[in-house]
Amino acid sequence: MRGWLRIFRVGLVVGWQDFRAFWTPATWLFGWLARIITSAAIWVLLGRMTQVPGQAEYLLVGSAATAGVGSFAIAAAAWDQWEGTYPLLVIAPTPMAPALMGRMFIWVGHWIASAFAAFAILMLVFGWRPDWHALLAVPIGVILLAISTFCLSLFLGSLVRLAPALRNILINILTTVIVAFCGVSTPLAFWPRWLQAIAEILPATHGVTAIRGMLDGRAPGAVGAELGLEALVGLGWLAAALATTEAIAEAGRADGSIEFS
Amino acid sequence: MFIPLVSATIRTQLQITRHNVEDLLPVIVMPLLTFVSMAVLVHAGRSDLAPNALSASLLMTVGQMGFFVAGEVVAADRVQQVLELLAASPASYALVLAVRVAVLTSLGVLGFFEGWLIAGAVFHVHVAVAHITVLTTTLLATVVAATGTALLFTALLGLARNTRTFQHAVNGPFYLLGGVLVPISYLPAWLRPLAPLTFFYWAADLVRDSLRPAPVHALGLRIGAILVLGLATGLIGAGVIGRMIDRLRRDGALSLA
Repeated sequence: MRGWLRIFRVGLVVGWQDFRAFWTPATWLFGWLARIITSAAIWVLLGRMTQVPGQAEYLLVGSAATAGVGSFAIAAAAWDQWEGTYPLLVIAPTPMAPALMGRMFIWVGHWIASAFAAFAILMLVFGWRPDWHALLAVPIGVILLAISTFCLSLFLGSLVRLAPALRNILINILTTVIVAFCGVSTPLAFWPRWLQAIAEILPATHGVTAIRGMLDGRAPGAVGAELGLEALVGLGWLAAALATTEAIAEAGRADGSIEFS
Repeated sequence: MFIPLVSATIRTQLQITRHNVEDLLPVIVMPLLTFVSMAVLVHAGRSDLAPNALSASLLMTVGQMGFFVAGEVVAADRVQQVLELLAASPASYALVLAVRVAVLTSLGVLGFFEGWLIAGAVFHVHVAVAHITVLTTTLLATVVAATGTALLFTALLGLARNTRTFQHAVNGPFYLLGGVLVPISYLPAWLRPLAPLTFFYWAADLVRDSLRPAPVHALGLRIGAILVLGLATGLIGAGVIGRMIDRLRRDGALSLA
């Protein structure tokens, strides 16, 4: 376990350098935030345009909680291949997963910071004033849904080894699926049963429900149950990710296709 | 000289795009947002606002093709050292670039049709085209304007170091300000005067009008505004590109840039 943590920490350092290659404090604040805040604001305005009471607030909570969530991490899984370090990781005597997890995990911080900033700015801009006590619990939901999205990203990141060119398409599909089907923009019940069943095992679905529950003053037990389900979904994807990461690395080692994948 | 050059450039760009799935990312992904906007509208009982979802599907796809794909053409030419060959050839780089950018932005028009299909097939909201000529003219003018804007953008990105930051920073604000999904009457009053400075504003309004039975007013003026904005940005872009190439040539720094 200590070995895992050590590799994870080194992966995190690599991830931090990746992050710095993309963003400086100024470009993150004025470039990245400009993008996610305006995107979220468009959804809130769409809610206003429908003139249905509560619709704008519904979209504000959903968009803020998932603002930026899912971005970049899957692509980070493919960067080892571009840099030629992937074969070195495969032949190293340690497992592949912690290195990958460390490098990708840096983006979880980016998601959480994005969601917090989105909540703060959208509340200010749209004059939305929820109960302060309830608001204090929101970070728990945001952090949990970011971590479970990370677990799914890790799984997709392990698959992206097979087709690195698809990395950005996968990121976009993941983020769009979360916004469309996971209770971010419309209640789950709007979608057909089979789609609801899929959404139940996707990250963010239970996290967003829990956040809405906190803000609506639902019983702590019900909110806690949703948070528990969100954690369970994350663990499920983590298990899948661990299995596929090693299996794909092994398969590449067995047939000598590591350099070509 | 002109026509063979243009057709060869179109062919080349289509070949490059065919071999690079990333180039088609906006066409594959952006219309998926129609799922979100249509779901919100249908759930709220406001299927009558479906034209807004379609104007967004069109303009966000065209915008992403312009900002993210066409915007990277000059930067990619520099990295792949194609810029030297193009600068050395007797053809105008600005013209070659304009044609390549136009090919990419025209692919963005697919976003409209994909959005229309999603609205119909998934949500059973069949949006009738009330004014087909208005729609066709608007789509064509949009391609011209998006090409102009993307030309300026790719010129600026060609000079910039960190292209991604720039790309992320512009697209969201443009869509909000241009009223591609929600008309600008929902924006704060102090922001509204900026909207007509983007072609998104004129194009979004016209697309929506073409999908509603009411007569379309001031068509010439509005199409004119889209074209003028496109040509103006395109000319500035071509100017920037020309100066950039001239300077690199004069300094002998082309390969070093």
